[in-house]
Amino acid sequence: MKIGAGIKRGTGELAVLSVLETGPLHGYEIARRIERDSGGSLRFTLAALYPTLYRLEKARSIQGNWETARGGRRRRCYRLTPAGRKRLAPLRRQWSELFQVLRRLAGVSDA
Amino acid sequence: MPDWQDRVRRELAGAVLEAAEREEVSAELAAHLEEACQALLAQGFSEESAARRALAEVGDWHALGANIAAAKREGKMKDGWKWLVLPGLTATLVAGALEMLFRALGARPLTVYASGVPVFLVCLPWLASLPLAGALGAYLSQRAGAERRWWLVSSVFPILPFLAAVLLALPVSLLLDPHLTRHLTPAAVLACALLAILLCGLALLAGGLAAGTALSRRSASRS
Repeated sequence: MKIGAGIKRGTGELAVLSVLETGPLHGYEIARRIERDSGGSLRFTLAALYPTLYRLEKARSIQGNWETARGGRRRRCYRLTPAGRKRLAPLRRQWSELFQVLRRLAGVSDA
Repeated sequence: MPDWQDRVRRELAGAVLEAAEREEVSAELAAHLEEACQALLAQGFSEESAARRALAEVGDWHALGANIAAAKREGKMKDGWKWLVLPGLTATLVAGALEMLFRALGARPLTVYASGVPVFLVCLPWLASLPLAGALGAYLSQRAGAERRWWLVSSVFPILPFLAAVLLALPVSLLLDPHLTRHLTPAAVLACALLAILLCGLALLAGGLAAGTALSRRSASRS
């Protein structure tokens, strides 16, 4: 199933915070993890991913730090902050409620 | 393997970003593209095909630059509000409240003349209390996470509207009102008004510096 761009924008924040809950990741890993964990339904382009990361960083939900990987390659690694962890719980609840409402409205039930 | 850093820099040349931001964003996106390309090479793609597929992850370069610039600007606007506008407005309100308080207590203002004509009134007890307003502005700004330059501007924020008014409105009113120009030397009026603003500014800044420096020292000793 392919998900439309508007919904993806809204889910971007939740997706990034959720994958960072498992531990620090850099931009490329975040993109791959979201793609893998969503079974390929959510695929972030750089144009969608990085603005989301910078917004979350500005909101102090995540924190990015430059790290030097093996081979001397420098990458910016993001980790979830305590504020981000706090933000994640109500975000999940809101999305869950939204899906329930949409299911009711659309008359869709889980197979 | 393409020079990703150079490619990203060229593609983002039109994005509205500060120089340091541009460098950091370019380095980060280049690292992403390089990693994507390496992963594709490891999967057996040719160098050309891997580079092409990695570039496809960008989406639209123009949208990328515009979205990143918007995200950075959005943050700045929020920060500017927390670091400057709110603390500055609070300091302005407190300065105004102090002025009303001293008036209510019967403090007599000192009249300053230029060319024999009263130009402005200054209440000395109010002037002496202004460091409190400056200190509050600097304290609120610094508590919101602002750097030194922001909390310093927050402390002198109450004089900014007056400074703008003097620099813009006074010359215009002197030009338009023949009565004023007959009795006053415009340069003298401007000098007096600027002196008054400078005095208030120094009082506010003194309070701001004291509070800001004390708070910085306290947080440095804690950390």
